[in-house]
Amino acid sequence: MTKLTDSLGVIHHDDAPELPARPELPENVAVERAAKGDTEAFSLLYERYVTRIYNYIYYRTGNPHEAEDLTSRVFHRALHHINHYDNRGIPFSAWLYRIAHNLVANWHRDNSRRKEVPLEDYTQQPHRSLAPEASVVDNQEMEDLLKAIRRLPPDRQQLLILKFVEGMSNAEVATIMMRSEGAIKSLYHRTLISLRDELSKIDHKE
Amino acid sequence: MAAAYVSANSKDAENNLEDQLKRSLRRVNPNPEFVGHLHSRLTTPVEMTIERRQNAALGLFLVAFSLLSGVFLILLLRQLRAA
Repeated sequence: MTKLTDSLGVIHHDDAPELPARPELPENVAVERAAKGDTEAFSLLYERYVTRIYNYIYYRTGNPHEAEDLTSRVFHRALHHINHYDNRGIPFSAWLYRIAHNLVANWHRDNSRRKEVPLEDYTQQPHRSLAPEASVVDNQEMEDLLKAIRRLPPDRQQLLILKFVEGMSNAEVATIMMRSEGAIKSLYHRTLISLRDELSKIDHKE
Repeated sequence: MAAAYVSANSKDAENNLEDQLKRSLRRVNPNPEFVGHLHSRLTTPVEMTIERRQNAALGLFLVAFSLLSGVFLILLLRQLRAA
């Protein structure tokens, strides 16, 4: 695996985390087997979702160390409660995101008095999958944007993360967030307006 | 006319914001070491060490035996002194 460092000091890995290749198994079958204690099946689910859950938590907390800790807790909780998961109600991905959402909410509640640390203060950055030439983004612009996003209500943050980080369509986001596609479209529009307002507040402060 | 201009402006602003979001919100890869380590912690059964409790009756017997031996020795010493 090649490691590259860009001008912002972000470490880039040219490939995704290395895990053994596994045969494809339909998700519902994997969930059913994992619920019966099949670690191989849980392994498949883990591989399918670990990066997504990590990204969701990373963008919600802005801290790679917390993202690792909370991602670990999400999967441990999922492993211990998968036998209580009822796949007739909600998709497995939505259930997993719900666990992550609750843990992030607890984390914010516990750390509500902790001072916010700017992104550039972190010595260890996550491993971006971008090519270095594509990742030269204005650091200040990115910092302001992330600050503004974190001021939005949690459901709006989730919507932006799923849409832009995961590249999901409105229909896919709707499945994860258990709303109608129309509701997501409308929420997205309102989110852009409130994000613009938050950004202008940040601009005025400077 | 003015309304159309405002609407076009707001559409432009929306598009700019979307571009900014696309540039900034990119997928990051977690540290591969972390991913691998968590994977093995989740799939490897935890080794549990069960401490076997000492036999309580044996402990009680030893304490009682020690006490009785002590009392017996004291009594024996007293009798020897008296004699």
